[in-house]
Formats: sequence, C-alpha cells, structure tokens
Amino acid sequence: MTTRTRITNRIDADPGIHFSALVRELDLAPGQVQYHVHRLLRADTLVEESLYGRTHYYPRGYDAFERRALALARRETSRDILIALLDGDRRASRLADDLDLARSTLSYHASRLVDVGLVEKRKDSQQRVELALTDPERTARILADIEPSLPERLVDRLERLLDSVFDE
Amino acid sequence: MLLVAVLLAAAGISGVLVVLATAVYLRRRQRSYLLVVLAFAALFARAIVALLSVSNTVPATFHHVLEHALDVVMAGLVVAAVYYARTVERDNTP
Repeated sequence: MTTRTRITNRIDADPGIHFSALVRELDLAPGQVQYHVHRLLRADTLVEESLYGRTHYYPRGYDAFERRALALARRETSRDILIALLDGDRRASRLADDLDLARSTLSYHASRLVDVGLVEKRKDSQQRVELALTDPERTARILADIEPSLPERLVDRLERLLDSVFDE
Repeated sequence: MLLVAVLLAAAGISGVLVVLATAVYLRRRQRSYLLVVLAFAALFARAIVALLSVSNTVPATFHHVLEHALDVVMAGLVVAAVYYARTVERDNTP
C-alpha cells in the first residue's frame, strides 16, 4: 500500500483525525505526512479544518457543523460535556459537579463548543447559566461515529462490567 | 520452555488487567473498584512469584506457600469488593 493510500484510508476511517495523531499512528515522518496531505488537499480528496491549535483532516462530504463536531468530540472533556448534554438541557453549575470539572474548566470548554455552534448558552428565569445542544440528533450520531482508541474502549467496557456486577 | 511461556502470558494479561482496572478506579474512586485493582494485582504478583521461582530467586519450597497465600488474598479482595459494593449502595440510598 502506498503511503498516500495509507493516509487516505486512515482519514476515511477516522474523520477529524489531527495532524500529529496521523503522524503517530501511521509511524511516518511529519514531512512525509505534510507532503501527501498537501497533495490530497490540492486534489480535493481531503478537507482540512484548523481548530484551537490543531489541524484536523476529513474525507469530502462533511459539512462545517459535522467537521467541527467531529474535531471537538475527540477531545475528552468536550466529549464528556456533549454526552452529558445529550441527557437534556443542563444547568452549568450542576454539569460541572456531575462531570467533576472545575467551573473554569467547564466554562473554557463550553465556550469553545458555543463558538463552533455545537452548544448554546442561555439564562434561565433565575439568571442561572444553562447549556443545551443546538442539534442533539446530529451530535449524538457524530459521537457514536467516533471510535475511541482500543485502550479507551477496553477501560469503558471493564467499567461497565464492574458497574453491572456491583450495582446488582 | 512451556512453563515460562505460560507464566509470561499470565503476567502479560494480568498486567493489562491491572492497568485497565486502575484506569476504571481513577474514574470512579470507589473502594470496590480499588479492591478489584488489588485483586488483579495479586493475580499479577502470582505470575511474577512463579517466574521468580523458575529462575530460583524465590526458594522452591517457599513459592507454593506464597502463591497460595496470594490466592487467599485475591479471593478475599473479591469478596470485600462485592461486600463494599452492597454497602456503598445502601449508603447512597436516602
């Protein structure tokens, strides 16, 4: 398989993968990846999106909302917040407690999610900040699409197994 | 040698379990999950003790006692994990 095919396949399998992960996972030199990605972008086979210090790559066919969602959903804290919000509109202060995040951490990640249009912020009748997903269905689909790495999945599954044993 | 291969496999797989269980414990921070980590660690230690006895670092007469003592520890930890899971559940119920 040529290097370029490997890069294309990796991006197809993992839309929104960022540059350094591509280098790491394919065990290629950064210059090599840069060269091939550049050619693929010129040929319109790939789309790139720069978000908060990382450049993410996608196959064609994802719109801006999906591209941003795919990029942020692979960052752990943002992903946790999105998943929590899928349960419904949430008060920011309760979300921070539930996710065991410092307020500043939550507000940092939440404002990014607001910036890219995944989340909206509003005040309830008592002026408390509430967060809600702008498009819960698409966000849910994207979260399900992103494949966490094997170690992450194993930990999740052992966690679920132990939960089911202990919760009996 | 077959025995060494089996022991290395046991050490490798139980080592992975220790790492995974530790990751789960770090998420949950509950006593039951910690006990599971320790039980897997006992399983891992058992393989290590056996490997050390093959290389004669642990005296041959002693390694059976040590390994079966680790069996006791392991079983005890699992019982404790299950026991505390029930206790924690009761404590959480208003």
